[in-house]
Amino acid sequence: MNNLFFLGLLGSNKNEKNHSKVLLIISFVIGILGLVIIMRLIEISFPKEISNKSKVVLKQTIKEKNRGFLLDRNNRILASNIYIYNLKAYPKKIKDPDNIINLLSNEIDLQNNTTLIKKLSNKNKYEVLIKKNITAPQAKKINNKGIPGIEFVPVIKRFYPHKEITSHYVGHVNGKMIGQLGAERTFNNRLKLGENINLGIDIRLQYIVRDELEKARVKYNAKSATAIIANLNNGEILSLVSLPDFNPNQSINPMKNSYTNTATLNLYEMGSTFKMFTIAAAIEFSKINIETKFDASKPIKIANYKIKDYKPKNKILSTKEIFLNSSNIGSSLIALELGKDKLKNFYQQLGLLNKSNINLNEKTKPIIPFKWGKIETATLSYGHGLSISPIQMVEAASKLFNNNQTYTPQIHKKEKYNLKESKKFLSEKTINTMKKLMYENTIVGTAKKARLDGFNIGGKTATGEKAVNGKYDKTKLVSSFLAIFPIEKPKYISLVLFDEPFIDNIKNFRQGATGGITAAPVTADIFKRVFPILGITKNFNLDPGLFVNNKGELNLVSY
Amino acid sequence: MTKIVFLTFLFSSLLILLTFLNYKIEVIDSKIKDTEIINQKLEKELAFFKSEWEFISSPENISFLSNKYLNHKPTELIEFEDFVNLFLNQGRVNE
Repeated sequence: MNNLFFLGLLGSNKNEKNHSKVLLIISFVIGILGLVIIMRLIEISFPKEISNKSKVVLKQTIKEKNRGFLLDRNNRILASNIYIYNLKAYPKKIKDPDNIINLLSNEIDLQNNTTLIKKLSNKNKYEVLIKKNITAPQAKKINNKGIPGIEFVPVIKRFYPHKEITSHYVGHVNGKMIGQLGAERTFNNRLKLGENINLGIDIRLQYIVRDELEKARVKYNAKSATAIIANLNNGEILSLVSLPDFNPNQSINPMKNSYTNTATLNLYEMGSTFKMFTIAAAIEFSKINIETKFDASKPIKIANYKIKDYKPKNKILSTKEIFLNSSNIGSSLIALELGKDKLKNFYQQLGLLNKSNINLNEKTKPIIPFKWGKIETATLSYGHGLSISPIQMVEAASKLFNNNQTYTPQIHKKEKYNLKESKKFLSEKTINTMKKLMYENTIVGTAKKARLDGFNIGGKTATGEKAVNGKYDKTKLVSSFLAIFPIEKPKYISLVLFDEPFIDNIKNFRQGATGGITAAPVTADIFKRVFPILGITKNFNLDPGLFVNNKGELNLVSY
Repeated sequence: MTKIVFLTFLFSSLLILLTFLNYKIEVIDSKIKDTEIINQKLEKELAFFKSEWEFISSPENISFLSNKYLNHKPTELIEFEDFVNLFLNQGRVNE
């Protein structure tokens, strides 16, 4: 019995042990399961973030790879990205190099077939570059032939569909897709993030302007030519042409002349267009009006410097006649009467003494006289002694005729123009007087060749002599014409400039390639074609007689 | 004990559900990635065609083609009478 009880006790001990083992196993399993659940819960809670992160990375890589497009003001593409292909071959996989080269040369132009066959026959070479820059359709055609041992490597490339037409305005990128010139450089940071940018340019206008300017440049055998059309109210540059130009799709040599943007980088002593500024300042800041008389009967002498007119009138001239006859003597007398400080301040207000505010990186500082004395005041009144870029001339004239000191030329399209941005600095009377003088100049003045029947424009011609070895060279001229239109309510401004134009038949420079003979008629040719696009219509209501009273009597000079 | 077993069962079911959802998310995610890659390719092709079209329809080419095939005359400054005649199909006044 005792033995049985003892055995019974032994059995219950064994059961307890078994129970505790089972409990241990169950708790271990539950523990493991719990751990697995927790780990899975953690794992499940993460993938979303991970996938989101991967999406962000993917989007970033997309943005990094695809540079934004440059578009014109009507959303036409000026710069885009295309994939081109480099064709490579692997000699180890090629059995018959002659046959492969023959097949390929049926589709693409190959530089040197014999050299390529030699290279492909060399089995020690891993790969051979057969041709760069193959277009997608060509690549597809070759690919369909199923040639073994060749491969197309896609490469992204910036493409400029309008080639030379937009070269200086749009600019170009380098091999690493970094903007080097023009809008590509100005908006590089935004473009590399994938943003598309609308520029102020109108490709239709740009084509017309370049077409007419190139014809004229060849005709006048000019060293370079520049043309700008800008919105006078908001500063948008609708067209900017600098000739010679280059094709940004091809390899670029920055050392060539064609690379220089003559509109923003070249500095010229502009000449008579400065008379607009001198007379405006005189009317605004002194007692001088358009009827005030000045003695232009003989050249004036300041220190050792003699100021004379190219076609002297040898009589007393009114301010108006000084402008229409483009008299240097008269202009100097006006400036001297006005005083150097007032003239200098006015030039400063117009931005003629500083760099242009245009949002292009390619621009230069003007060359201003070291000393500003009596002689400088006189010569600067007709644009000698101060070298500025064509864009500065457009900027200064826009400030004047728009009566807005904050006017800034811009290469991008402005969605809205805020009137609050403008800062008036002249009286309406001065502006209207200047408009009248400009209009009159196209009726009876030096800018007659720019006139188009029924269209009312205002303009001023200019012819500056270039300084060579410290002396003005009468055979090397800078001829230009600045216009504002329509004159009733000016909306646009244009400048056409030729650097060293030459007219075969006329040897005497005085009657030669002046602004009135070269730039003014080219401007008219451009206007004939761009006015329908700009929506400028004929207006016969404006009677020229309102402005021009003695048109038959005015004897005009070519300057 | 029953509670523990019940909770384990509940958590296991939840785990299965979450695993299933996770799998679905991964499938959708990979589909999105594939679509984005296809989209990228299509965007590239579209960019190419747009660029090609821009080149073909550039003012320079249009001018060249219209000169060659349509006996094109440069744009003339239109007058009001011409505008009215466009509607009356009478052509230009000065023609």
